[in-house]
Amino acid sequence: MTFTKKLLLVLVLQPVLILGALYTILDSAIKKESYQNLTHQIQETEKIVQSNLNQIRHNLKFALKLTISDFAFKQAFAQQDKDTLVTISENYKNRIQVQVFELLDRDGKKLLGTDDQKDKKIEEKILHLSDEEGAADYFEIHNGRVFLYVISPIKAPILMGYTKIGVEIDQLFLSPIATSSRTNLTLVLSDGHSLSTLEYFKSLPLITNSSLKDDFIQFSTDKDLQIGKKFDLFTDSSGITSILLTKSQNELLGSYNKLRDILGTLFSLSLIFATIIAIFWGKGMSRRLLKLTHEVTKISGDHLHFSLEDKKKDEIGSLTRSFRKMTEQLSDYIKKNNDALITIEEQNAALSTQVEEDAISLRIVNMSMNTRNLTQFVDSAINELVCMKGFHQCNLMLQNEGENNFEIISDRVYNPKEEKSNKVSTKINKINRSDLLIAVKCLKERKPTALPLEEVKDMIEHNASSLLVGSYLCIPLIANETEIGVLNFITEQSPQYWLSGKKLVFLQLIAGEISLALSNLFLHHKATTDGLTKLPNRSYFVSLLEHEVSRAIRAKKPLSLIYLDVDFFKKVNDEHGHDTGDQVLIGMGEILSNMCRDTDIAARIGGEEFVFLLPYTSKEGAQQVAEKLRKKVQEASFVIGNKTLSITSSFGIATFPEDADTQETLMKNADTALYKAKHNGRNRVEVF
Amino acid sequence: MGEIVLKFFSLIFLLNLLPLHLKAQEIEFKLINQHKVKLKNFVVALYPLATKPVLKPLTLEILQKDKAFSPPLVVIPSGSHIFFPNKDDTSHSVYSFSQSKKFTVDLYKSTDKIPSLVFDQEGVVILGCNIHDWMSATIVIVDTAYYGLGQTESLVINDVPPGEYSVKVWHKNIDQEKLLTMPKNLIVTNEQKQSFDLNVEIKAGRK
Repeated sequence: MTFTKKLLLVLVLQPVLILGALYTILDSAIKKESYQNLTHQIQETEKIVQSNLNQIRHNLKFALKLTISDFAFKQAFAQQDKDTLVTISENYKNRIQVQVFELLDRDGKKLLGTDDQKDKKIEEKILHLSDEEGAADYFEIHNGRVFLYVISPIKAPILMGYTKIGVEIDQLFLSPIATSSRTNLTLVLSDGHSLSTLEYFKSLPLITNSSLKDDFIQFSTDKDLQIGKKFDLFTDSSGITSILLTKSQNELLGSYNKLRDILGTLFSLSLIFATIIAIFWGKGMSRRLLKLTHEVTKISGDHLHFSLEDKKKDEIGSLTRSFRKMTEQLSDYIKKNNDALITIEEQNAALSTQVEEDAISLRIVNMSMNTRNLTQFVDSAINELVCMKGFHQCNLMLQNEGENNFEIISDRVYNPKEEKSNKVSTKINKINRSDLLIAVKCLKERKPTALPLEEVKDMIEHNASSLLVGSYLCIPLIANETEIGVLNFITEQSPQYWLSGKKLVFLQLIAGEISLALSNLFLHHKATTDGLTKLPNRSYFVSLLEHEVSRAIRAKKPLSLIYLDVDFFKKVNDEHGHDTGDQVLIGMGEILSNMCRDTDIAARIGGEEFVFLLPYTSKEGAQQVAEKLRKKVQEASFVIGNKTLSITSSFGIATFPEDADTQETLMKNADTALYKAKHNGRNRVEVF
Repeated sequence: MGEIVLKFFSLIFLLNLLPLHLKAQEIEFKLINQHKVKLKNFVVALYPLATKPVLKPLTLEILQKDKAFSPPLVVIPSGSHIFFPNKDDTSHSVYSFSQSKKFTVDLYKSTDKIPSLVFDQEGVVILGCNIHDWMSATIVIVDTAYYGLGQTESLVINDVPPGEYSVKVWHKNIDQEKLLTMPKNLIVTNEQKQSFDLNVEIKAGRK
């Protein structure tokens, strides 16, 4: 049941039922009361009619008694003195205002009167009706008029005759009673001049009403209800002559009906008003409630917006405001929660990033410490970096001598779709113009550059991935105020991502680590390498030999050391100049490097003295290597300018541990073997 | 003077009655109605057919006492003289509208002269008092010397010579205003005691 129907029920139906019941009860009570009142009034009127009739009878009898006790009248009557009798009759007739005044003899024969008919019934009437004075009264109809007659005997002192007087019982008689009692009195005659009583009552539109007493009748006329009672005057041969006493119910109930009508109208108006109010109010309420419900239904985790406003100061208004407040608080709460979650996620991500970054940087630092091979280190570092989230390609460009001279050391592409072991592939592209310009600019400004990928058109050509939107990142590598090169990245993240916040810090940190590592490697390289031949120098070789000797001891394997010396190098220098000497030394370095296996170490330990260390190699093996070297040197042609030189070299071999048990003795013994080869004619191999 | 006259007439009346009793001839009458009921307060008068009887007029009083005539019923031979003394404190009148004697005596007090009238015509005179309507007395006037008033169921007439008589009776319920002549004559013998039943028809009594 909707709110409106309920309101209608309460505001309209309930009052209708209650007031209807009340109205019915009151109406029936008033009607019942009115019936009683009516019947009571009619009964009272009936008494008045009865009493008036009695009074008339009494008055007539009294008047008659006075008349007949007049001695002169008696005398005249006794003497049949008609003139006197007529005079007396007229006199009395006027005095007591009667319509009929008759004198009858003892036999009922009229002595005076309108006609001479004999009233035969007179004696009978006297006999049956007379009172103690001998007077009798009765009703009779003459020519459609009802008369009340009083007959009194004339005695002197014996009966001489009768006096008969009569008054007409007509509306003139009834109207004062009708007026005073406010009752309609109708004379209903029994004789042929009028309807018979029975017919008259039959002609009335009677309504049977059980609440009425038996002798009451109810009949309706136009728009009215009448209650009546039949007051029987007398019965004669043709029937009963009655007075019908009737009262209009409308007249009695007039004021009540008026009040009832007014109340009914007021009630109807108030009902209409109540209905309108109920519908208006109910609709308003339910509309607001529906709106509220609709709006509340929309509330969900995703939709925490509550746009409804209700400023009315009632329950729905406060409910709406409560919902609004609740939604806002909920929204706030969820937002805070979400923010907290995001923060946690971010922190988590940051943490994991941090961990990853830390791990990466740790690994890179570790690598930098454990490797002296620049290429190997750079490859490893780039490998680590390209595997980071959102990274697609990474390369390192080293700056060589000269501003625009760059060299790609390592270039790695991340292929997310590939199998685990093949996710990273090597791809070395030529340095194109864009790379160069960006790198130069970056190093010049000494700060990272991030560009939208789509702006770097050249990159698209050699873009290993299908990435179209993202960043081209360039981070300078600077150590000890020296520009080393740049790290280039292609990432999914936008330039804005990188340029805002601290996202670049890690990369800069890594760049710093790499720069430092590279710088260290360069320094190490410089400290341990002979600048001319690019071979390890004497001090570095000593540390390497120490390392190799202890390893040979641990492995219980032989270690052979070859000492070699360019024959007559002083003569080359003297004859062709130091530049040529240097070129010969460089050529020697190249020959040694080319002959050098991964485990072998070639080094320049003096002016024209070189060593060749062969781990895990016996004296015989070393002899063969030395013999190969001797032949290579002998066969090599050193082209210096427009000149071609041929040189030879001598070799001395000592093997650990059979020739020496320390590195010092090993070196000394190898040198001894070299001296022996020099002494024995040069361009030859001698063992200790 | 009136007192002396009254006493004188009373004495005569008493002396007159006495010898009749002594003769001891008694004729008894009973009046019986159609319902075989013996009536009271009736008058019987015997008229001899052969001779004209010698009338013996009376002088007597009908008092007006306690607003009533007393006695209410008298029977007198014609020519009798009746006084109407008023014994009440109020005034009375006496009147009659009867055929045999119509008269009116105006109101008089007890202290006024006692009115008197002579009734000389046979018939019945009903007296009334015009201010007391209920007052009534009946005087039956007969033209014979043989009559009687029966106050009980039996009436005795004395000293009636033997012979044939016409009989007239009066009773209130037969005809208040007239004497009724019986259809049959009556033969009176010398017998000491004779008895006659007179059958009459009466009217229904009024209230």
